[in-house]
Amino acid sequence: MVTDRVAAKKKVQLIKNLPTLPGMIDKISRAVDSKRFSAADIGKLISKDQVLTAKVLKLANSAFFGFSRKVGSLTQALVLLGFDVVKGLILTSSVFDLMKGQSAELWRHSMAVATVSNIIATEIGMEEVEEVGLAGLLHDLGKVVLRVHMIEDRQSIDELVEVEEMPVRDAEREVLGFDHTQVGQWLAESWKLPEQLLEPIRWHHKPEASRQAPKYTAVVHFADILVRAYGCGDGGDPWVPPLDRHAMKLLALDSAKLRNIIDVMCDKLVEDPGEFTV
Amino acid sequence: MIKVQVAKLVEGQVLAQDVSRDDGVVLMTKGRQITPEVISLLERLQVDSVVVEGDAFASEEERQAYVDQAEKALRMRFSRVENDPLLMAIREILAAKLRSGCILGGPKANGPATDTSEKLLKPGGKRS
Repeated sequence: MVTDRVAAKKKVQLIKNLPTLPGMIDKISRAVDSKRFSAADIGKLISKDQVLTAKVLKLANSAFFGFSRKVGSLTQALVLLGFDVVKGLILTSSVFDLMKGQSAELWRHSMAVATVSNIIATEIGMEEVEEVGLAGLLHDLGKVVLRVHMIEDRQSIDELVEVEEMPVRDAEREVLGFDHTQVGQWLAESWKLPEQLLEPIRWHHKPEASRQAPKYTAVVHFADILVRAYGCGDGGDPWVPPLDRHAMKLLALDSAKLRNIIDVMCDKLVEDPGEFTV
Repeated sequence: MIKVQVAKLVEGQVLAQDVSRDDGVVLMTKGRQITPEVISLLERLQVDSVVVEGDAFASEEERQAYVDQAEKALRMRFSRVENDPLLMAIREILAAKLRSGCILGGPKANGPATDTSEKLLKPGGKRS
């Protein structure tokens, strides 16, 4: 086990390397805050960056939002999804740009958790299904950063998983002194993400600790478990983690609902969420 | 069901999901049988791939081999939570889906998702 000082040093190192928000987000946030801008104006602002536009639309049209009609323009995306979700999509595409080609399987895992979060949220009648999907998409944000910025530690972590058969989160703590949920939290805080995105990132392995967004966190916790059970993508290790009773109580699923969620999951994941790479 | 490129469709397969255009207009409804005419229509409509019933196995033996292997992998994934009755129930639902033709793990680019990596087939392992 590393000493706390080593862990602290690694933490500082890592935080210095945290990706910064794309300048576009800043511009848009200011436009939204000033309240003088309509969805169309903001759509125009984003459209100036064509690569970004294409990515946002691709994500908006991907399986996890499940709109029956194609989202054709940024204005439409803003109206349908709301500004927070579009902002999240921009964030997501910039984060996953970091890991281009490095871990297609972590991307597949994240997209699948987003899809299943959306399915669960719909089944239990939550209103903000898109935002819950986004929370699912971002839940392993910390893993992305670890993969990109701590390459050597990453190898030690992978080794512990492969050789010692240790769950990835324990391996992270063994090597670094902290785990991907904390890294995700630091990034979410530095990006000023709202609590309903931050808490599922921080607490998806320990949902009872979520205070501000317990339901979001419970949905993402269960979605992560279902995706690992189904075996889509690679979240770092192959095992289904323990299911939290507190989270299940919040979701209040009966057996009919549970069955329905699994049926829809199998239907949707056959479309392979991984193909919507950004 | 499985997603198949239009170029690789075989006569007699059946659409398992509606085929829609990008703007949501349904071009073909599920249940339709694949014929040479349907294939050429799909090509003219510039559809890349469709979801059809069944799976991507050449023979019943091959299918059975996949199901056996996938079920083994499924049990391995659940090997550390066998004391949780709810998770065990979920495992059984997934095993039943597997036996009824569902491809777990989503399709990979080349055929069915048969996971051959050693990592995913290791038994139990050390608990944390």
